[in-house]
Amino acid sequence: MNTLSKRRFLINFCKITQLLFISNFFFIKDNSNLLKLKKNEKFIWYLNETD
Amino acid sequence: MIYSKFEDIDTSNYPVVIFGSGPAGITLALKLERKKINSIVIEAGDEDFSENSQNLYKSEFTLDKLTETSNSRLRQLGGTSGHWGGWCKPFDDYDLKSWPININEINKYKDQTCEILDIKNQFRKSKINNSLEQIEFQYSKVRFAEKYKNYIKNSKNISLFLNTQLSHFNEDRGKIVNAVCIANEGKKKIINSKIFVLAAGGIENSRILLWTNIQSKGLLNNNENIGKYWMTHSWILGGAGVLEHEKLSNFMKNNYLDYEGPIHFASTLEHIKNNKNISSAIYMNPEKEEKKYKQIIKNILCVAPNYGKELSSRFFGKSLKCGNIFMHIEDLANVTNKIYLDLNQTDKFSIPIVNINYKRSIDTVTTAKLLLQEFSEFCRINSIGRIAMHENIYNLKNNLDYLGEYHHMGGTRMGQNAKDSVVDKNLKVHGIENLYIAGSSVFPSGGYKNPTFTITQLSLRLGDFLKEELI
Repeated sequence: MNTLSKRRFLINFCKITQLLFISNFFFIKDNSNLLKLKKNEKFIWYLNETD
Repeated sequence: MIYSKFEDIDTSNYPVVIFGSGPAGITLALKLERKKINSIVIEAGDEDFSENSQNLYKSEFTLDKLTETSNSRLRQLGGTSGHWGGWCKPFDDYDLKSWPININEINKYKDQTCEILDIKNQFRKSKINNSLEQIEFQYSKVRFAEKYKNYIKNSKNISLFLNTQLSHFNEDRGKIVNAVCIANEGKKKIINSKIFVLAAGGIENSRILLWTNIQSKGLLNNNENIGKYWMTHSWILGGAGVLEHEKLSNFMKNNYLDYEGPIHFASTLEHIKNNKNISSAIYMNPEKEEKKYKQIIKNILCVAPNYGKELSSRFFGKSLKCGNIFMHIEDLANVTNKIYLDLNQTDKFSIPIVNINYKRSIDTVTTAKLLLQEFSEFCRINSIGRIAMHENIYNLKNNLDYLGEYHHMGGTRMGQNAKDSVVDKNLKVHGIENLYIAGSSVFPSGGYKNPTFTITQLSLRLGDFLKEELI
């Protein structure tokens, strides 16, 4: 692998990592607000996924 | 003056006779007194509670069994105000959409009503979102017997007779000529007057008119609406939950209503219209029950351990409210929900006892679910708390935790004519020139609000109308 290819690989790697990080960040954020219904005794609780 | 039984007095000095000494009857007598009009108030019960008297208030139920009517009302001086909870809130304009009068016609009596009920004229509401608003009630401690007994004793314009049961009215050519009453010991009394007002309560008003119709062979033109469109309020356990005051207050910024007592939320008019359903309200009690707190936090720890741990660390936080969630839901007027007389069973006065034919509506459950869903989602998304809904509401099953039916409305509803109602907009019985009805039995619809505030407003309005009639 020449230097140019190494640079391109590094740039692409960084981009993908950044995208993964951002999407993961949004995923986590969305997840915190997702509705989860859970039953306990005779009640149905309206909860967050992360509760 | 107060008489413990009916005596032979010259009734010609009394142009108005009122049957019933509850909030509707006493308010009317007080209003007439201010206008220098004499009235006689006839009360079936005694000055105080008695079990014998109370037993006469028993009814039968067909279809759904509601709270025993000898527990939900009082047959004594002051009527049901002797044990009411005192919750007061005036109707909104949308509550009166099926009424022949508009909100301004009763709202002008708000100040006087608050004076009678010893409450502040303050009923704020604050919009939270398109579906929810925080609302404010006032809580009256007035027992009409306690507040007005001595006043009536000394009054020159009001004469009150106890232990005298109204049986029925007699008429001649569309006019009531007298009322037949029966004293406790069984002696009949005939009472003459110019104007007769039936203010005996949300069940008795229908009962007396139905009995009058039978006794006088159609005096009331056999009005088919008597007893029909009877309503109550569904008071249910909606769920349980935690609510964080401070977070709610921050969310609402300057619009948060800080008051003592239960915290109330209601459906907005927009929510009612969008969902084509009926009005309803949610409340959580102010009392901090440690046992209940622990139980709810324990439940949350089971279903939401992270949130539960966070709550446990703030267990004694002042801003945290844990408890049951109660709901009051409007009951749609339904022609098949009605009061009728059981002609095979009579009381000691030979008046047939009441049978209530009532079926709970699924609309109650769908309304409860929609409002609770909005409330639960609002609390969750904005981190204001976590709410749990009763599983039967969630599954739209009609066997809810009903906590009691204490409000009796309809049966002699107000309307345009005898085809759709029993009384006109001035509370005069259709086709009879001198018979009026006061009380919640005239409500064409009942909203979710407790009825006594509106009952009092209507009696004050009736007082003004009768003054004009007597000129």
